[in-house]
Amino acid sequence: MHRKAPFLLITSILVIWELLVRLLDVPKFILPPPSIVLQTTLLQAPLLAGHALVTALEIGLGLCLSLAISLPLSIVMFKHPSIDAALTPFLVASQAIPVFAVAPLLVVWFGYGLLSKIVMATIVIFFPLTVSTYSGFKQVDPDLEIVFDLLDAPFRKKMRLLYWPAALPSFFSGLKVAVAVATIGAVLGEWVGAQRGLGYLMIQMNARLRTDMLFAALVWLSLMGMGLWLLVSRLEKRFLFWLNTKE
Amino acid sequence: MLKVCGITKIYPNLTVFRNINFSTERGNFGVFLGPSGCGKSTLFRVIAGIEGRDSGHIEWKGVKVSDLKDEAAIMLQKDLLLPWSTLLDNVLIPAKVLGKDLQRERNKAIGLLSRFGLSGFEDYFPYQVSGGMRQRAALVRTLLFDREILLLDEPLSALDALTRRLLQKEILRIQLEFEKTVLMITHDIKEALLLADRIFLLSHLPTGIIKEIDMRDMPKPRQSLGPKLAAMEEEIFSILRGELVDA
Repeated sequence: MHRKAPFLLITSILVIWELLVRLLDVPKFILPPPSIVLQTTLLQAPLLAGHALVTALEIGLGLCLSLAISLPLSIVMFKHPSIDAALTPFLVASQAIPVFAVAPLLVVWFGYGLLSKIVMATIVIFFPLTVSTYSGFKQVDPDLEIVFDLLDAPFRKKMRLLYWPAALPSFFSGLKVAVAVATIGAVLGEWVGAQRGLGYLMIQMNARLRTDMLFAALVWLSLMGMGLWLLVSRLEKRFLFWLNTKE
Repeated sequence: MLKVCGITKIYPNLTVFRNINFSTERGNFGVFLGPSGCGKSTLFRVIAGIEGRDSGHIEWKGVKVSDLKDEAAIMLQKDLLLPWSTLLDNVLIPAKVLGKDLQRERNKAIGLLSRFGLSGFEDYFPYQVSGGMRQRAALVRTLLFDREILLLDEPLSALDALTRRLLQKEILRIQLEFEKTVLMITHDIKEALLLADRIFLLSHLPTGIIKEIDMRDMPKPRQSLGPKLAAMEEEIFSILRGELVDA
């Protein structure tokens, strides 16, 4: 029943949408019915796929860059509380700045190409990743540390054998948030200035009142987001097999 | 000879223990018996060097040492096994941390696991085996610390009565076959009488040793409480009952 629930919900929404648009005779450029959106999604697939690939690349590279920043950063913050204390206010403040405001600046700095979008996605992603990994380290059962303390284990070994595996559940919940918001970063970057990508396509089509294409781009974007989420969930299950099996 | 002299531990609002003195011969089995919540665990943590102390010193083999961090392995009521590692990997933690020859230690570990009834379970994860088996694995791990002193803090308290009796025998084997000096905390009088060479009766907070019972003249293994041991059980209970009323 739980597996069917999302499909039931989406189907009923689509049916109501279709009926309302047709009954009220809403113009296609204001709100196209789902049937037309579906048609465009499939017919324009080659065009959409090309742009989707660019956006996917931006998200993927943004994720890689965020990981490369977040993991070392959270380890350093965990090892040195003074660095943690020094950095935390800036990290929090950085999240208070709306990405929308920075986006034009990033385009000026990093150009119209991939780089500005990758940086944009990274800015959105690195914070949840850093915070979740860091708090994962802090939640380690202090009793488990006794074993390592008696052995005078160096930090490096404690990290590899104890802290990192213990932080994995928290890391994965951060990663899930990250992949969910990564799309926002990339698309936002594309809105401000780009030559390719789903965000760019949306702006173009919006200008031409091709609302059906806009929705088609959204469909592809959602599918990409769901795909990423499923991938992360898979990895989570694979690595956290020991978690859901407590007595 | 292990000598603990004048150990004191004071928290800001609480004197946990003051001026604790005891000694035990190498290869002997000392048992601390007292009401729960009387600071026994803190005593072990201080001796093991996991927590600091306010005064006192420790002598081991005639030499003053700051603590037993390099001499002792510790085992708690919680098995302290890493949930994401197999039993074998858990047992090998000391070898990994100390950078020992893993192949050799592996063979040693597999041999020990099978001597303690875990043959065939090397690649099981902690959640897949019973509490008794987890404690056996924890026991084997303390052996692979390669330390002469074992500090056992209520290692069997969480187990059912039958498993407990079996594991009491294993702990005795560890003392006799592997020539370890064992200090164990328990609140089971019978367990103390079956295993101990010396019993230290502890008072309620601030913890002190109220009586020391020398059991070295009674041969081990002691199968069950004969009339002499049964009388001692009553005597010990009547002494400890006073502490319980105070509590």
